[in-house]
Amino acid sequence: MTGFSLLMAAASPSATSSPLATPSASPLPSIVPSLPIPSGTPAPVTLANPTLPALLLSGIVWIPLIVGLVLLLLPARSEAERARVRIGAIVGSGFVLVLAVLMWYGFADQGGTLAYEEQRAWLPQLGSSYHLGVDGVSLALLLLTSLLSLVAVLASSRVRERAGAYFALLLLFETGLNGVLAAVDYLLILLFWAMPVVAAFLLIAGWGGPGRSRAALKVLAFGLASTALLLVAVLILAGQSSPPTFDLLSLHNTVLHGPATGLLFWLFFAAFAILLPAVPLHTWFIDAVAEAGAPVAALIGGALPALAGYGLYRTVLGDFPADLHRMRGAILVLTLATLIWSGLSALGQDDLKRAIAFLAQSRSSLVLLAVVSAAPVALNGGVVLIVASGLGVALLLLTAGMIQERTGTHSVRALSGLAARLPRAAILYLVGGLGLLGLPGLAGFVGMVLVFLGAYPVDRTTTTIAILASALLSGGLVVTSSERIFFGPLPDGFARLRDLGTLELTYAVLLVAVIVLLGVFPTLLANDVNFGILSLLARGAG
Amino acid sequence: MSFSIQNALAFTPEWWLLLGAAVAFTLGRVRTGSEDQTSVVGLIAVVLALAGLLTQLRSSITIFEGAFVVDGYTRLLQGIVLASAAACLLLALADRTWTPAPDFAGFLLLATTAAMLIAGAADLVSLALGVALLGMGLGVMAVEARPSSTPAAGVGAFIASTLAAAVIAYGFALLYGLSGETALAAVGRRLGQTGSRPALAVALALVLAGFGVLIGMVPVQWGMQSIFQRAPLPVSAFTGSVAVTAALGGLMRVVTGVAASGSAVSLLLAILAAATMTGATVAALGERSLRRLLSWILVGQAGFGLAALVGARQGGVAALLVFSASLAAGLLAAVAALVAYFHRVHSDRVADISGMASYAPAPAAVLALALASLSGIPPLAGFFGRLLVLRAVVDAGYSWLALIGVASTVLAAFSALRLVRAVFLDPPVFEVHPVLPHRAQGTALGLGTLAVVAFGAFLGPLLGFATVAARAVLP
Repeated sequence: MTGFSLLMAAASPSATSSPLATPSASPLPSIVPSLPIPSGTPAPVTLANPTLPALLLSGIVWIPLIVGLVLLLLPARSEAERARVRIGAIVGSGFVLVLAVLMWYGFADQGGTLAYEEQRAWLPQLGSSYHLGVDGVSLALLLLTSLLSLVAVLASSRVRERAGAYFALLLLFETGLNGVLAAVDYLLILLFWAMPVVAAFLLIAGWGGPGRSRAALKVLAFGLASTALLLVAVLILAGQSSPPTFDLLSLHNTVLHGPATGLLFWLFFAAFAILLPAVPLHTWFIDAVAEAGAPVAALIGGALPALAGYGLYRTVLGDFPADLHRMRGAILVLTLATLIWSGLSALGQDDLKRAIAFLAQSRSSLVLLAVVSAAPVALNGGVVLIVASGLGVALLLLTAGMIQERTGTHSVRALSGLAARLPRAAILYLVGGLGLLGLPGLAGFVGMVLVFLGAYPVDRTTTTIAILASALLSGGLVVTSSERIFFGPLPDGFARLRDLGTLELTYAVLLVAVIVLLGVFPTLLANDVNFGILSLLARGAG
Repeated sequence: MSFSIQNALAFTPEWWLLLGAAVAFTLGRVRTGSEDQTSVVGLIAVVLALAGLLTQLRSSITIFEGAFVVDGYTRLLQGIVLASAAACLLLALADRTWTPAPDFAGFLLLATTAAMLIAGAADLVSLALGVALLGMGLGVMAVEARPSSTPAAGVGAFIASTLAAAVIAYGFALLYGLSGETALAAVGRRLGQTGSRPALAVALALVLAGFGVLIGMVPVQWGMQSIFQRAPLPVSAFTGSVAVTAALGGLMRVVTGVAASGSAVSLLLAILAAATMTGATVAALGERSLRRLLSWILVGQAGFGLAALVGARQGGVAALLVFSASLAAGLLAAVAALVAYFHRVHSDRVADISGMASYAPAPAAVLALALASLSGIPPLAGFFGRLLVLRAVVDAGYSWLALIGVASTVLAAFSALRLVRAVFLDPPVFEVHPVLPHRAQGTALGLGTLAVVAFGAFLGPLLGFATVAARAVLP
């Protein structure tokens, strides 16, 4: 049975009921016992694939930071020196992507256990160790963050001012993203969680648009608030464990009692909801995407919601399934509010980047729908949706950046008929937009369908409203903005515009290729993700 | 009273310091213009003392019938004190805006000896003696630190530190009167039998106020601020690292010995900690003077130091030790950066550090790292110190204080990163020719960076040692 048919088989009525809502009807008991579920006891340094070195995951996490530090020390005054810095960043980030792909290649059939696990003693008194490892969910997202980071570096060829610091910050951003996804210890996650926040703040403040100061401070305020919520939650959670531990796997097995569980659930949920971003904690995200340079905006818009989604899966769903089930109503209201608010806001926007930011927020809210359903198929779809959204949003934002660079405006009303002069940009924008909407054959389709099929049996009304609202509002935005920007009469001022160059096409086509590839061959990720999710649910249910 | 060879050897680090002080004083008197040489002599003495300390890590002895206890706690505190003192001497060599008095290094070594004695004091008399010596040493260093500081500043600092020592002595006298004992453990036992009385509250309030002046606790933070505002940076660094570490360590001995299980004392400490961390962080937001800003940052740290004392638990003791080390690392790195900055720009205005990275990239980077560390941003030294304190506070049952601590950390991080943005991304206020840091400046900057960045890597052994040390204080 192929991965996709396996998923579709799991989508049969008996399989789509939430294991939390009706444990007896859950498909898990028949599947889970055959899966080796990670235990809470620390495992020795292991190799998932004996042909790959044990430090692979450490490499993915630390190489960007090390390369970034080297770039910071290099001079970047002349054009040749800047080119050297840029090439260094491309090589570093590219190498990390190659490692991620290698890991994915060697990952097959892990059966829900952690792979590429590294564990070394660090702070035994606190119960914290240098513990890295990936399951299907985190590996899929690692591929996304590595790809987006490389694309952001490639797309930054025009950065001239303080190039060393710029690329070092981009790579710090990448280390933070990859670190959160790879860490299996909450203390490590906390260390990495602040890195993208600090990097985004400085990148926007230093290389952003006219409103960068305000946007950067908002990113900092909300990002630090998210880190603080996470810190408080982790401190309380670690305090509940005996012996004390920060290890994710050990804490999964910690039985929590009393009112602390409810508090912990909301602390974790709020920390992730800020980054997702959910209404009303989203204004930083919109401002950040609008004011950041296009490559940084692509990284913020594509990768930060992925981190939030990962947190919702790993912690909220994995550790607090009962609270999640109890709070379903409130979270569904939040999901619908976010979806409809962002959809309507996107339609009312004249600023193209702000509209895309609202679109990204609208897609992220569907992840909440998947998480709250706690149905395996929807959760599988959620991961694919996060990846597809990340790719689509990045492609749209980069295209918007290319358009802004040529026309000097990001006002949708000021743009018209660009398809005549920028046909490549028009195609990229449509692929990105339709990929997000869920056109069959593109990555978003698989995600949307799986979320719908999985969540529908759990809550028919809300799922139908959510999916319809999402399709109509997001579809409306993509269609109307495409129509305004690319079709109609071409103003005289735009008659001499130059279409996309080779470098721009290179990274854009890279994104398009992955969007199409995942749309046509969803099994490339789906099998691994499925095992990861079943393992997560088994722990949550247990 | 017995005093054996073994007891004398236990004071090896202190002997080295005293010998160094004697050589430095003599050199300063017989050769004019030998300020740098006396600092080098001081540095050598501190390094030898540190080496002597390392040979005695495992020893645990009681000297002068319990007046001093040399255990893991003492040794770790002394290690932090000595490392900080060495860094301060390096900073004195690096600071080109100021010529120290000929006997500066000698008094610094004497004050360091006093801090070492406080770390090992387990008796009211020895602790009062140590505090008085430290107060005098600080006062003299501040008074002598002319011409860059005004005499009034030195006198202010002198009054503050000697007043603190006097207030502590009054408190100790009351404790002695109430208990009839001088050994801290015995005082605690006797007071536990007699119960609480208004006189005990007064005694503890006096002790807390005295130590509060030394660590910069709100509302008696003015002494610390006076030194930071007017004294040369190496003296400020000494006060913020060596003196604060010793004072926090001494206060911990008093709290664990005398008021171990007193919930009222814990509550008072928690309230003072909350007021200190919040007040200082808020005050730092609108601060326009760099030196005062640094003093507010340090006062904020004192809040966390006090928080570690709440509940008087083993976790708190270990957290305090790690926190003191992380605080010293962050503060000394920040001062190293400011020393290099003031060498180029003679302005104390916060607004003037804009664009510092364009003409002084290395000091700018170290300043950014130090500020980020002091405000608790992961993964730098300060984050780990704060994390351990917050964890200890939660374990002690004071979750509300932990929440205030997290909130003040967020606020501090916010203001620190705003400064970092100004340093790196805003255009420079002055036209300054890029200057390579002086050799001692470069060494200080490098060591500061290493201490702040690599703290997490060495945290395992440090925390292990601190945990053992905590068991020595609270078995």
